[in-house]
Amino acid sequence: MLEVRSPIAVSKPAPSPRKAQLSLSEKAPGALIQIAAWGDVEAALTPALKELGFSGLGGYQEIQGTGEILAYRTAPDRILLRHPGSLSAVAKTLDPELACSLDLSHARWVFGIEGTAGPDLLARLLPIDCTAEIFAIDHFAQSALHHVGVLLHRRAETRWELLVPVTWAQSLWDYMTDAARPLGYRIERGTA
Amino acid sequence: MTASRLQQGGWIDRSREISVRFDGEALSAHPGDTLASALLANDRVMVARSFKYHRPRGVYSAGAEEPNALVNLRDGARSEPNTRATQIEVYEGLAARSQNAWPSLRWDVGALNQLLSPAIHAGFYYKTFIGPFKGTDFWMRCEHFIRKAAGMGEGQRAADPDSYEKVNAYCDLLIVGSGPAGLGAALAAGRSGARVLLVEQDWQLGGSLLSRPRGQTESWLTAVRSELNALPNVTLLTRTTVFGAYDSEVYGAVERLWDHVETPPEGQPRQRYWQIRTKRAVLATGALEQPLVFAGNDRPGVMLAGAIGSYINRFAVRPGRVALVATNNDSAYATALDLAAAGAEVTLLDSRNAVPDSLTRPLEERGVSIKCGHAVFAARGHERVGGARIAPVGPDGRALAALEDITCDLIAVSGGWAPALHLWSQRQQKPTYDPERACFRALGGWVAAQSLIGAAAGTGGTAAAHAEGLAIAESGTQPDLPEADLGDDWTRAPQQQMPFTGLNGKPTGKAFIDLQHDVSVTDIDLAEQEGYRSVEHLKRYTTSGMATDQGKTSNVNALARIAQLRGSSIGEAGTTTFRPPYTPVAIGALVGHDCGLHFRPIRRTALHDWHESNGAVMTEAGPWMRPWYYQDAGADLRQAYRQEAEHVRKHVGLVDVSTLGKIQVQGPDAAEFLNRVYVNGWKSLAVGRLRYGIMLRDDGIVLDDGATARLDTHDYFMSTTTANAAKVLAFAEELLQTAWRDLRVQVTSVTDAWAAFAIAGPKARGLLSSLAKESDLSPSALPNNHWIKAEIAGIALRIHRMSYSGELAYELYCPSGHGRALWEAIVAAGPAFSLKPYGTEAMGALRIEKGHVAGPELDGRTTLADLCLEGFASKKKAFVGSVLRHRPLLQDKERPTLVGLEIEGSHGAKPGSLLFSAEGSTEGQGEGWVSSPTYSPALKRNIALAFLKRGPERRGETIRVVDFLSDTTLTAKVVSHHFFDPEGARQNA
Repeated sequence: MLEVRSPIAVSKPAPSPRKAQLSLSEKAPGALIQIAAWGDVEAALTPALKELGFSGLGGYQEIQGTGEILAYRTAPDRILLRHPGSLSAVAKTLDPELACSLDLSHARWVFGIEGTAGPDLLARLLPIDCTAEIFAIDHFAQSALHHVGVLLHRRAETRWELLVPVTWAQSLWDYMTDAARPLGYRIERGTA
Repeated sequence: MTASRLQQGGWIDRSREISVRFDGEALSAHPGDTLASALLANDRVMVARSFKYHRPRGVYSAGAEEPNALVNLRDGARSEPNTRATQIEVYEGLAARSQNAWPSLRWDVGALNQLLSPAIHAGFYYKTFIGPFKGTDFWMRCEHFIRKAAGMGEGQRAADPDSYEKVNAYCDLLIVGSGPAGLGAALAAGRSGARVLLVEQDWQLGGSLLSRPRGQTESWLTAVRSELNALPNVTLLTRTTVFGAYDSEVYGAVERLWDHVETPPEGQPRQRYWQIRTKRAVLATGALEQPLVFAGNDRPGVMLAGAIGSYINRFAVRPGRVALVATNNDSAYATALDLAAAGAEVTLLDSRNAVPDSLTRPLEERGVSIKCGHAVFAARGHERVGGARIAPVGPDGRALAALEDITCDLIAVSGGWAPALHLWSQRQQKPTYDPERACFRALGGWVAAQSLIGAAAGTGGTAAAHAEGLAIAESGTQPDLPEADLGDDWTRAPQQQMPFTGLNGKPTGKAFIDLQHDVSVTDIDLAEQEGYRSVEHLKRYTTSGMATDQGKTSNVNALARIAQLRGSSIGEAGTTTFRPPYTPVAIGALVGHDCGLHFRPIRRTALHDWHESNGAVMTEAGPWMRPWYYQDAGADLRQAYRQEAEHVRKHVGLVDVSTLGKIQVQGPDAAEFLNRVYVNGWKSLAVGRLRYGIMLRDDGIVLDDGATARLDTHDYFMSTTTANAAKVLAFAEELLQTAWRDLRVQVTSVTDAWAAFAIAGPKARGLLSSLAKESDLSPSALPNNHWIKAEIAGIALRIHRMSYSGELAYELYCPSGHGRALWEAIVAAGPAFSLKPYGTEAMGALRIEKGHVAGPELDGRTTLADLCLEGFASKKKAFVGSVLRHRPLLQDKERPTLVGLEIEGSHGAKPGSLLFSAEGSTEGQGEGWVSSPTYSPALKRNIALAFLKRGPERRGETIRVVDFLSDTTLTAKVVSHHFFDPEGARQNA
């Protein structure tokens, strides 16, 4: 299988003078398929979602997950499906008169943020309240990082993922590492 | 004035001594001092020169309201002008210097301005520079000297070596201010479990309590601080100023993280800008003491009474030995007591005729001489106070008897207190004057989710303020204000503010309303005399309240003088409102990381690194970085792009066009959607075909163009220009979500998903065939405007046959993560076909030769007819802009229309040059303009695309091309804009 080249080809991890409180990483998102519909969205998408093991469209903040498949409802009529392997079968489960699918696997990149200082870094990046009471595990939010639209996913108590547009990735990575410098960080390659 | 350090007391750390420098002189200080307290402790009384008259000035206050003691802090690139000495925390190595004085603070040439003061009154420049002079030349000459003579320090041109950061914060309750009221609110809210953010501009919690004798408050403060520190739901931010209140309960604050050291630690930001979103805010911002207005009230040694209490009790500095305390309210009695306790000889003047025994008795027991019904009418001395002139005072502020000279070296003044309503007023609220408490208060209306407590609400007394804080946090509503006690209450029967004048109603010398901007009583009188009735006009005419302190110590007195002149009340004279910021904010803090590399986000294609490592000189194209030209093709841009373009015409070139906007259009009604947004028809486009399309705005002006491929029955791949990608997507989404909700269509940006390259030149087919061996690229199998799926080096891709350069050309689309691998595979096969990459400049030259329009032609002003593309518009269907494009204005035959220009001579035209006929005048806007000039390697001459009135009719005519910026005129022949291969033989090969 062809390797998907990282857009963070030229990384410039500045020396972090403080003891690292954060681990930063980046990787490909795996398969990323957008399914969308028009008209009666629920009727159009639910059969395909049920086939994947989901109960329905889901909410706009809480992620649906069945095994390795994650579903982010990014808009009333759109759901982003993510899987570490392949989701090519999804398209076949949709009625083309009612819905469509689109492969966005190469359109996004994933930044991983791990550590107790994660909320401190995120407070420097996004206008989102990331405290546990407000932003629970396996919740997500869409926001703007340095003017670019991104999706933030809380994977665990101290682990977060940012899905960023691949053409902005290098710029956002540099921005993120600069913001993380006062907190102290280390970079772990390809393990987001 | 003889200031000195007290032997005991204060919140300073006497165990350590640190050295600071002011104007090069070493001063002794202790941790806990401010620069102002250190200056006073070392008897440095004169610390600045005033803005306009260069009068000597000293420390006036002990906080953010300081109008006089502005200094230039630090040296070199970290130099910062106009910092308030009263808020600068001393540190080892601190270096500050006075500003607005030359050659020295003591011997300042600018002090000659005092002799000119009758001529440089308010608004003098408006009058002086209007007639008999013509034009602005005289003003422009004088401005240089005026600006040099005035001013507030000097900016630093070197780059700031420090970093700053921005942070978002969220809380249930934001409390601004940590005096007795703020601490009460924090305790109550913190105990209830609410998420509390307590913000204090000082480096210690305590507010006004720190200005009381330490023994009275230390144990209480220690207990409160330790309880708050122990509450995990309470965040304490010291050295942080909330400078702005905004809609939706958003507050801006700046934390001065490392301003209290010479250099921030490696990697740490100097300041942090907080954007705070809260459910509720409690403003415990206190009150600001107001000056008294009398002749010489700006002399070093005249200070606010409350500030003197701070210097004595917090910093253990006694600012003078023989003190005159002048007041119109109760609060200064505490200062008189503090001065007496510190060993000063004290006389107290109260402009009120009677005060309760409970106030006077403790002072009399300390030997303080008290004169009720008296006021100070003048300060004597030059570089420091040497005495005062006092007299009995009438209810209108006039002296009732001859002035009496007394000796003193310190004049403590208290003209009442002004609640700090700034953050409340910033939410579009107007304060109301309360004559009973002699201050502006927030009586006119409440801001939802915002409460004022303590002195900020006009509440007098520490205990009452603290109780109010406890109550507000628990109840969540604005409580009834409790009865004030007498102990430390400034609200009990104060006298309204008024300047103290002689019998004629005029001050006995220069009396200042606005100390920082040198606005005197005379200036206010002049403005009033000249008819400035509105306080807003008067403010701008005199500049009162417009300096960096934003009138914290001048607004009330300005209104008081206006009221005095008009015989009205202060409330009738006007009101005062506030805008952010509360105190000046460093631009660096607001910018945070968004500068330098991060000034704006940069967009890179999948090939970015390849371009850079293969000699590309990159250029900006909107947010994108694109290869402009490759240095190995020539020494500079001029040579490089010509060689690259020529190479494409002769051999084959490869260019990265990943920046083109790409939009997936999906759904059963996708063709109908395209039919509506494009001017041409789409219903007949078969799968495997692609078509060029043009779209208009609603008003009939051309919006964008590009090619769209039909990938499947319900699936189209639209491309847009690089510049308009986001605009076109937003336009399409808006139409689908509003006007065309009936269409079963989804549009999604896939610009990030696909890398795109163009292979152009006579050898393009040979090169591509050698790579995509399984694909038939023959003209019959893949004619123009068709696409196929293919595979190169194991990478799946689409090959679109279309040409932008006018050559035989293909566009390749592959998943962006495989873009680099595909590009390198093509480059590896390139030598056999003389393949070379080319940049955007060569791409532009090729498209101009071909006569293709691009961004410079689609400039938001041109129509289909202007672009000679009218033939594309369908007459059988409606489309966006199909009605309004027929407006008479757009149908005018005189509109400039696209033409080609062959420039005569060796110099090319500049874009934006105006076109004039060969004969006639060269005035006005001309008959058109040059949009895209270039040198044409194919034609071996300079050419340009241009818009010319009645353009197509004028082919063969010679015109003038005038660039007014460089004052050059060229001549050019008008030709068809299809300069090269107009029949399209090469692209159809």
